[in-house]
Amino acid sequence: MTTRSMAFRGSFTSREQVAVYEFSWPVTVVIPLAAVFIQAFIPVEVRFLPVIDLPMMVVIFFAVARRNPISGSITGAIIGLMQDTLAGPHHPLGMYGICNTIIGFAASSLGVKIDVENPGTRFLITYIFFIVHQGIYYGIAHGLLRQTAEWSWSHVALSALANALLALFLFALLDKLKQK
Amino acid sequence: METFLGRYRNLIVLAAILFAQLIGLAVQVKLPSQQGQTRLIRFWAVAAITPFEKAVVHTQNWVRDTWRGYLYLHGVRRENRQLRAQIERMKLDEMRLNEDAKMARRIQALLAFKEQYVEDTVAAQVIGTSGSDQSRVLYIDKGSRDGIKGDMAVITPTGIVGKVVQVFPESSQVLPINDQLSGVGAALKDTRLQGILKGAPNGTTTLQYVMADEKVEPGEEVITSGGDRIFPKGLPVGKVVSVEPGKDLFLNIRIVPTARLDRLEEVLVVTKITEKPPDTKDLGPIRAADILAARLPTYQTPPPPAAMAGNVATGVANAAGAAGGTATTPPAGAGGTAARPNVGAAGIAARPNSGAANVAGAAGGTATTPAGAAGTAARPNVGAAGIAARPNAGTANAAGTTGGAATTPTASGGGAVARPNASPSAAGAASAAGRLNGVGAGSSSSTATAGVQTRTATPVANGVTKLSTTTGVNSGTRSAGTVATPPNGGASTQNGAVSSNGTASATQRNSVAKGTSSTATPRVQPGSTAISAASSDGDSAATATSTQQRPIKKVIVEPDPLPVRKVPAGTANSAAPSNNGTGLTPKPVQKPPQQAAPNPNPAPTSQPEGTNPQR
Repeated sequence: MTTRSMAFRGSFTSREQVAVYEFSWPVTVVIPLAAVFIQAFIPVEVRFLPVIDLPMMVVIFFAVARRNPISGSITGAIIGLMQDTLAGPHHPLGMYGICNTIIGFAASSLGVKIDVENPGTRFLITYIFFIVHQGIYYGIAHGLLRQTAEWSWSHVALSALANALLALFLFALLDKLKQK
Repeated sequence: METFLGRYRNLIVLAAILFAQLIGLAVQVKLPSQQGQTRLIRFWAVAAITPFEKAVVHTQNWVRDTWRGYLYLHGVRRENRQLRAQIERMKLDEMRLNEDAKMARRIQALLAFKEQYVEDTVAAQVIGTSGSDQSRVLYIDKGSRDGIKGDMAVITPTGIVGKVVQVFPESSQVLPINDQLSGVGAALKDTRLQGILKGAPNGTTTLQYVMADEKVEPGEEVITSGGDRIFPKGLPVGKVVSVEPGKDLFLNIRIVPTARLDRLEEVLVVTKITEKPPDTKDLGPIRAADILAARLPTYQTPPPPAAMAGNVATGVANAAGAAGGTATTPPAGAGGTAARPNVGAAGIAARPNSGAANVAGAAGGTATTPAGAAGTAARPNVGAAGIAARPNAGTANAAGTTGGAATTPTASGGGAVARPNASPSAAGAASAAGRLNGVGAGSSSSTATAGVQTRTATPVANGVTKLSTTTGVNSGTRSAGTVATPPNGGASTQNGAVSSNGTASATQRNSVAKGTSSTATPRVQPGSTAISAASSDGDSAATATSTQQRPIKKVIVEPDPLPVRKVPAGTANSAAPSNNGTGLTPKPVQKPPQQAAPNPNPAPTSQPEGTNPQR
């Protein structure tokens, strides 16, 4: 793991220096692809998986690990566009791209201010970002594209909970891929 | 400037990325891709991910098949026994349904229906999804190299799945019916109400655009209507689970698809649909009646009453035999026939009796075997039998009574079946029956339609009655039940396949007999009863085409000893002696016990009971 000590103004973490992690190129490429692949393939067998948003979790993980808003935005845009390409023909390219771009930017910006290594923090930010993600998607679909979209608070809350719980295990697994 | 860019660099980059994507969205909305075209980035993404998905799915299938096929065989013997028993049951069902299917195809052929057939399919494996909760598209492992094209229907043996929306060389994208962007032409199987099946964002499916005043019950099956030109008509779609009032005066009918859209593994892509008339090659020889029925007009404007009076049962056999029960209207002769076409309904109504009449004749008048071996054996008689079983609803018969489902006491030895007139012009006459040999086997059941005419026997002078038809109302009523009263002890009949209200009025007497195969020469005999037209032979009855008519403009006959009266629907009547037009002297037929005693004060006119001219 390569860490660089950086001092951030306005950080809410108790540590004065926050570690910035980097990842190897294979990991940077394979993990997002694998997330998109699993997201597209697994629902054939496990139908409830669409409520799980693995690509969004990967975006959050890379963003908070790198703590670079630009990197987080670009990562989110790329992963989101990959999701868009596999969606239906009536699903315009860019819907998930915009959502994940904002999530990546927000997660990396938040990562420089709070300690995102804590499981509680990870649970909370994943829960909140999932709701934000769904809200942005609903806004684009319903507001910009005039598509039929439904918003169910209960569905979103339960989905966010499922994603947050899964994120704890996923982030712990991906931590092992951080480079020293 | 540099300070500004450096300070807000992150936000500027974010804004730039978002702006670029928004522009991309706007372009896609403004310039949607043409049908069949795929954006390059989608093509690349799918091409990159498909090989991995295929590899995983095929490996998974191999492992599963190996396990289930060679290792995990628990309960296989028991399941095998159950399946064998199920096959036996299904064979019986198949025999029963096969007759109905043949009849339906025959009718379709005559009506020039074109049926859609799924001629070719390609089996495909579901290898992926969109991975999104908002989009429910599926990916299958067959693409353009396998002959897949856009807008092809995707089905399973249990029901429809969706349609192909994008095609790649090695895979295709399927839009399932529960996607919110999907729309399928569907119809309720029983009520035949049509609507559009649409998906919802939450994955449910609803049948829309069914008016709120329609009655739809949960549990009713939904099939494709064929209106979308993608799915052939008649494929199972799902079942109604709930019906609620919707907006805009439409019902909100929730449907559960019969295909397990959340457990799809293998699907069939319909690659070729042909539209052609039903194949009638295996339906046996084509009868002359069928050919004639196809050539003859199916509907004619009712002529003036005066003309109808003289028209006595002509062309009846045509109507009857046509298409095994498709009653087309015989041509009106000079006298004009107010024959109600009775197309379709009559045929179908008569259908259950096919074979029945045969049996009736053979067994002395029992008429109830719907299909079955007897009916099948008497195959050529199906049409005739159907008609035989189709007396004029509500027409009276020899007894001069009116009434309900009438009956045809007929005769004939050897299974000959008397065929009552299917034409309302023989109003009040259904039977002519039994005239042949007087064997009077009651057969028949009335399930059909009949036009209703009101005929009037008006006393014009002492002892003289003027017979005239006052109205020629085609009612198209169906008779339900049937009744048959065998004069000579044959078993009576049954059947009530379809419905009726035997309306009718036939208030006269007269009779006519009718004939054998080729000519039906109506005659009026004093003292006889009932105008009828019937042919009393078995097969040829169906082909008997009566073309000769002897219009009777005015008939003055001796007073009828039998009074004009009304007979409740469903009553049977016996035939009176008459000349059958063949020169044979008919034997007197014993009147059935149901026949009412003569009314010494006959009413001059008679109105049909339950007649609904609007029907």
